Amino acid sequence: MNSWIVKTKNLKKYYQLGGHTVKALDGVDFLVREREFVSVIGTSGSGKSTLLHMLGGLDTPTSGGVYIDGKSLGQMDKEQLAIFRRRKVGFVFQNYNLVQDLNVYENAVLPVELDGRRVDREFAEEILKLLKLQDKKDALPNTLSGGQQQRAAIARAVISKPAILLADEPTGNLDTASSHDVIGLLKLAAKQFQQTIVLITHDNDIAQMADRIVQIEDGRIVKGGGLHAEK
Amino acid sequence: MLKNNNEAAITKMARNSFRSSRRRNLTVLLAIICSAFLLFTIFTVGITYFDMQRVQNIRMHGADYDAYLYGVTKEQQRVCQEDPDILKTGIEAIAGYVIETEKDNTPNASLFWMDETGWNEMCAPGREWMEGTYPQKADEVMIKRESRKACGLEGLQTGDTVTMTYATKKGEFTKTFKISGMWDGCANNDVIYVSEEFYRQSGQELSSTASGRCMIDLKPRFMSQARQDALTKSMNLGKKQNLFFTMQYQTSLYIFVGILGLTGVICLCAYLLIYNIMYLSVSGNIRYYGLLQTVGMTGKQVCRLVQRQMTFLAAAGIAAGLFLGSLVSFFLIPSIVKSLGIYLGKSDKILITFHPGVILLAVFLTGLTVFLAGRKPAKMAVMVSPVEALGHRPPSSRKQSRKLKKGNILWRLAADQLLKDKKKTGIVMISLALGLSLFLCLVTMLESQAARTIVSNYMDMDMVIKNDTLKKEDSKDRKQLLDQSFLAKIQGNESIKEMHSLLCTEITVPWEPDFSDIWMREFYDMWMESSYEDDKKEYQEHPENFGSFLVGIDRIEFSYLNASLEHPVDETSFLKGKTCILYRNGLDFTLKDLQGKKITCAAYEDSSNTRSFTIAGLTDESYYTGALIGLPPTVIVSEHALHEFTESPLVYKTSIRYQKEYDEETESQLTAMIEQNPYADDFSYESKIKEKESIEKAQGHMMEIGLGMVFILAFIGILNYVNTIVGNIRSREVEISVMESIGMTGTQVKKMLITEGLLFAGGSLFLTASAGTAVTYFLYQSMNYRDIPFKIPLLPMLGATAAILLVCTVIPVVSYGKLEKRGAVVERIRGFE
Amino acid sequence: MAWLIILTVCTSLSTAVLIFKVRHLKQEVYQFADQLEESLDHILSGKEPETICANTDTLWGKISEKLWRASHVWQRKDQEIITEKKELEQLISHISHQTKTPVSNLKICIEILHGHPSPEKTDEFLNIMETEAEKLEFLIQNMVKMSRLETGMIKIRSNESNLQKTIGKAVSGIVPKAEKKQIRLHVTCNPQIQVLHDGKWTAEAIFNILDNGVKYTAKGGSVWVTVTEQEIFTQIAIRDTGKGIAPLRHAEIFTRFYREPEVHDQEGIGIGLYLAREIIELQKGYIQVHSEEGKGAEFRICLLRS
Repeated sequence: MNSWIVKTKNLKKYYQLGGHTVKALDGVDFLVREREFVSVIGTSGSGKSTLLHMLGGLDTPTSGGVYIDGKSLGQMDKEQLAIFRRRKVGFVFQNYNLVQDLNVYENAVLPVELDGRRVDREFAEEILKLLKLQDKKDALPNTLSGGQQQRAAIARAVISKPAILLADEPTGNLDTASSHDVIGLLKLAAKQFQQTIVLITHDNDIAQMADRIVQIEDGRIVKGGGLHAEK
Repeated sequence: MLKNNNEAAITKMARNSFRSSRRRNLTVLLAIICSAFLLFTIFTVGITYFDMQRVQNIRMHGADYDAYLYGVTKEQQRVCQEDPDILKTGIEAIAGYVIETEKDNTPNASLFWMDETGWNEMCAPGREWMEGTYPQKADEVMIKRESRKACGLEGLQTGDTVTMTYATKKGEFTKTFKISGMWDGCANNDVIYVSEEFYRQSGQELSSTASGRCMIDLKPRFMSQARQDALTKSMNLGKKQNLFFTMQYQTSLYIFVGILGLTGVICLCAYLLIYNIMYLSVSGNIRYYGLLQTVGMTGKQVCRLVQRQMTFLAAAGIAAGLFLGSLVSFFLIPSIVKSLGIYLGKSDKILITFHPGVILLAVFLTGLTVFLAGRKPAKMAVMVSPVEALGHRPPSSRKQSRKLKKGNILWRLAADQLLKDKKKTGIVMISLALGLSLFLCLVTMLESQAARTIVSNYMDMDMVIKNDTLKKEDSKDRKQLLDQSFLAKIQGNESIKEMHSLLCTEITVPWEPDFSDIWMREFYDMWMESSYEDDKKEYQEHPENFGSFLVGIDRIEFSYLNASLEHPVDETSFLKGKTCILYRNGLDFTLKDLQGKKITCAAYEDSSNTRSFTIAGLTDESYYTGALIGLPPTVIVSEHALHEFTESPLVYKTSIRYQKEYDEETESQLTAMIEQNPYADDFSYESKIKEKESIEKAQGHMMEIGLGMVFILAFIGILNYVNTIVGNIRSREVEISVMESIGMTGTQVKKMLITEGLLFAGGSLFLTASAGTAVTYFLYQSMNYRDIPFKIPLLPMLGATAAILLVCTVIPVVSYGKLEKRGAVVERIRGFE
Repeated sequence: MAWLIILTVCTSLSTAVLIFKVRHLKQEVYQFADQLEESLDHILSGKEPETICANTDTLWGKISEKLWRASHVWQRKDQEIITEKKELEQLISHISHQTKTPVSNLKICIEILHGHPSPEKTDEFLNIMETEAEKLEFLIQNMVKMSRLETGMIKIRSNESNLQKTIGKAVSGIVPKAEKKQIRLHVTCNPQIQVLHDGKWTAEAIFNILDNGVKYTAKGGSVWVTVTEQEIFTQIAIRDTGKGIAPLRHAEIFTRFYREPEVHDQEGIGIGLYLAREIIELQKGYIQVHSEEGKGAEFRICLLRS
C-alpha cells in the first residue's frame, strides 16, 4: 500500500502576465505521508499558494501531475474536482471564507450537507467543543473575532472527515497568540481525526509547529521536499 | 445512476439567501408578480375580446360571418367551397324593395332572400325567437316581429296576408303575400324575407353587386393583411365587386398583434429587471460562489442554488400575480373589452372568459422569462474560478491605459462610471426606455382616440339638423322644413354662436361630350350594373332622369372646405359664382383631369335655366352633398351663386355651434324645438354631445387602465434603475470614500451622482424619442383608420420626462445619503476590508 | 370543455412521467445494489473496492467513497499491527542491548568481588556496581513506563488542578541535577492558574523536558520555565541556553530512541521526549520545539484551557 497521500510529479504552473511568463511552480516534486503535518514556507510569490491550490484541485497545472490518495487530479473535470474537494479536502484560508449568512454550526456542516451525507450531530458538537465554539454555535460569522472565525473554518474543514487539510496562511490575519492557538487546535484536530495537514505560511514560528518544513522559493522546493523523509 | 440526495442543503441555502438578500428578492418578486399579473390580464382580455367579438358580430349583422362579398358569381361560390380557410358561406340577396303597403306609403323595407345555409346556420345565433317557416313559395314573406311597423306591416301576424307594392328589377308590382313566419333577434331590422322562387322571378342576379351578397365564415380567428389580400385575390373580383372583412375581423389582428407586442414588452421588461438584479447579485457575490465551489459545491449545485431561488420567487410571484389578475379581471376586463370596440346592449354583460390555456400560458411565459433571466447569471456563478474568487476584488477596468479627457471633472467621472459596465448601463436604460416608450405609445394612441378628437364632425359643430324629406325621390314630397321662421328661431337663441345652412336644389347636368360624358362614363364604370352605352341615349334625351344637386355654402363653410382641399381654389372667383367644387364620389378622377372644364347645370324643373361653372376643385368631404347623390356630379358653389340660380333653394341641413361647447341646455332647447315641429319625424340630427357620450362610453376606462399598465411597467423599469444605482453606490463605497478623503466634498459627490442619474435619464429619453417614437408612429399609422395626423401628446410626455428626471436624480442622492450616515470616511474605507 | 381537455392532458402527461420515473428508479436501485455487492465482495477478498465513480455526485459515488475509506482504514489498522509488532521486537532488542552493558558490568564486578579484592578495590567496585544498578533501574523504570504507555496501561486522569503545583513537582526533581551543573532555574508561573490535566504524568513530562534541557546545557547555563495563558491553550515554555537543535531534527527528536548523533557518549536512551509528547498528546495538548543550532532550545507544552 502506498503511504503517500499527497504526491506531485514535476508540477509546473506558468502564467502569462504582461507579456512574459511567470513560473509560479517550476518542477515541484512534493510528497506528504499520511497523517503528516507538513508546513510549506516561502516568501510571497514563491509559489506556495499556487502549490496549495493545485493540491486542492482549485487550479489546473500547466504540466505534471497531482495525486491525492493515489488518484490523479488531472483526469477530473470541474464537477469531479468539486466533489473531490468536498470528500477529500478541507480548506482553511487566511480570510476564513465563511458563508456570512450561515451560522457557525451551519457553516461547519455545509460540506457534509452538500454531499447529502447524514450530519453526525454528536460528532459536530464534539468538534465544536474541541475548538471551543460550543457557545458560538448559533452566532453568525461577522459577530465573531478573527480567531473564532478561523476556528469555525477549521471545524468546517475537519467535520467532513477529509483525508487532507489544506491551510493557506491560516494565521495571516491573526495576532501571535491567536495564531498559536489556531495552529495548535488544527494540529490537535488533525491528530484526533487522523488527518494530514499541509500548511502554507511565511511565518517561521508557525511553520515550526509542523512535523516537517518544506521550503519553496521561486517555484522550486529548496529544502525538505520529502526526499529527506523518504525511508 | 441514482442522484445524490443533497437537495436539502441547496434548498436550505436558497432559503437562507432570502433572509440575507431581502431587497433583491423583493424586487425580483415584484417583477414576477407584475409580469404574471399583466400577462394574465392581457391574455384574459384578449380571449374575452375574441369571444365577445363573435357575440357582437352576431348582434350587429344578425349572422355569424367574418367577411361579406358584394355580388357572387358561380365561380366564386366554388372557390369559397374549396378554400380550406372558409368554413361556410351563406347567400343573401336583395330582390327588391317595398314601395307601399296597405298601412304605410313610405315603408322602409327591402326584400331579401337568404339561402338555407345563411338562414339556418349563419343567422341562427342571432335569432332569439321564430315562428312559422322561412318562405318557400313566391307569395310568402317573413318579417321580424319588432320591425313590423317600420316595414309598414303593423299588427300583422303569421298566417295573415298583406298587399304590397314593391319594385324589382323588372318593375313595380302590387301583389298579395302571406306571412309564413316571424322571427326576432338581432339586426336585419327593415328586411322582409322572401323565397328563393320570388328572387328568381325578380330578375336579379347573384353576381350583381347590387343584389347578391355572400356571407363568409372564416376558419381562422384573424388573418394577416397579406392573407386577407390573398383571399380577396383568390376570389377574382370584378371591378364593382368588393370583399369586406368585418371591422372586428380586421381589428382582431391588431388586437392580437397588440397583445403579442405587449406580451413581448412585459416579458422583456421583467427579463431585463430580473437579469440585471441577478447579474448584480452574482457579480457582487463572486467570492461567495467561489467559496462554495472551494468547499465542494459542484457547478450543477451552484446552478441549482440560483435556480432554486428563482423557482421559489417565480412560484410565489406567479401565484400572487395570477390571483391579483383574476381578482382584477372581474372589475376591469368588461370595461377594457368594451373599450376595444365591443358594444353590447345594456342588458348584456361581458362574460369574462377564463381559459385554462391563458393561465398555463401566463405561467409558462412568466416562468420562461424568469428561467431565461436567471440562466446567464447562474452560469456566471458557475464559471467563477475558485482561485480567482479567493482573491477577488471588484474588477477594475481592463484597459491598460486611458487617454486624458477634457471637460468638467464631475461629468467625466460620471460618464466613466456609465461606460465602465456598458451592459449594465444599457440594460437599465433600455428598461427605463421601455416603460417610457410604452407610455408614449399608449398616451398617443389613447389621446388620438379620445372623445374630443374623434367626435369632431367636419366643422366641429355642436349640432347638425337635417331635413330628411329631401331624401325623397319625388320632389313633391320634399318640404322646406328648415324654413326661415325655424332658422330665425334658432338664430334667436342667445346661446347659439353661429349657424350655417347648407342650401341645395335639384339640378340636371345635360349631356355634353366635354365633361359630363367623361364623368358619366367613369361613374357607370365604377358604380353601375348596366353599361353606360345602354343608358347614354336616355341620359342625352332625358337628363331629368339623372338628377343631381347643386349645393350652396356660405363663406365660412367655404373657407373650411377650401382648407381641406389638396389644391385650394381661388376664393373670389368661387364666391362670385364663377367656379365650383365637385364631390368626387369615389371616382378615379384627379383634379388635373377636370380642372378648368366647364360644367353646366340646369334647374330640374326648368331645363332652360342653366348656368355654367368652371371646375376648380374636387373634394372627398361628403358633408357638402345634397340629400341624395345622383349620377352626375354634386356641384358645390357659393350660396350667392345658388340664390342667383334658383329663387327657392331648400335648406338640407343646418349646422349649429353653441356659445359654449357641449352645452346641454342649448341642445335640449333645440331638440325640444324639433319635437314640437309638426314634422318632427322628418328631422334628424347629429349631436356632438351624443356622439361624445357614445364614444366615451365605448372607451370606458381605457385611459386609466392603459395608464395603470404603463405605471406597472414603468415601475419595473424604475425598480431596475433603483436596484442598479443602490447596488452601484454600495459597491463604490470605497471609491467614493477615497475621493472624499482626498478632498471631494459631499456636494461634489452628489453632483457627480446626479450627473450620472441625468445621463441615465438622458439615455433612456433619447431611446424613447428615437426608437420609441418610431415604433409608436408605426403602430399609430397601422391603426389609423381615420387618417388623423400623428401627434404626440406633449403634456403627458413632459410630465413623464420630468418624472424620469426626478427619479433618476433623487435616487442616487438618497442612497448616497444613506451611505454618508454609515460613518466617517476613514471608517468606511476600513469597513471594506 | 377546454378545462377538461387541459386537465386530462396534464394528468395523462404527469402519469406518463411518473410511470417512467418509477421504472427508471427501479432499475437504478437494482444497479446500486449490484455495485454495492460487488464492492463488498472486493473488500471481503482483501482487495480495494473500485472507485471509478467515487467522484460523481451520485448516491453510489458517495457510498463507494465511504466503502473505499472504510476498507482503507481496516487495511491501515492491519498494517499498524504489523508495525507495532516490529517495533515491539525492536524495543525488546533495544532493551536487551541497553541492559547488556550494565548487566555484564555488574557480572564482572561480582566476579571480581568473588575474588575478595582489597577493601579499597571493593569499595571502588561497589561504587561501580551502584552506578550500574542505578543505570539499570533507570532503564527499566523508563522502559516499563514506556511499555505501559504504549500498551495503554497508563490511564491519564485529568482533573482541574493547580498548574504551579505540578510544575513545582517537576522542578524539584531536577534541582539536584541542575545544582550539580550549576545551572540556574527560573520559574515564572501565576499561582492561580488552574488547568485540566493529570498532575502526576504532566510533571513527568515536564521533568523529562527539564532533564533534557539540563543535560544539553553547559555548566553555568540557565533554564527558564514560563507559563502563559492564551485564549485556548495554557503554554508552559521551557527554554534553555544549551546547544540547540537543528530545525531538520525537530520532528525526529520526539521519536523513540532518538539520540543526537553527537551525544552518544552521554547517558540516556532517547525516550524522555517521546514519553513527554505521548503524555501531553493524551491530554489533548501538544508539544513543539523552537530552536536553532547553538542558540538554545525552547520546548512549549500547550494544554487546552478548561
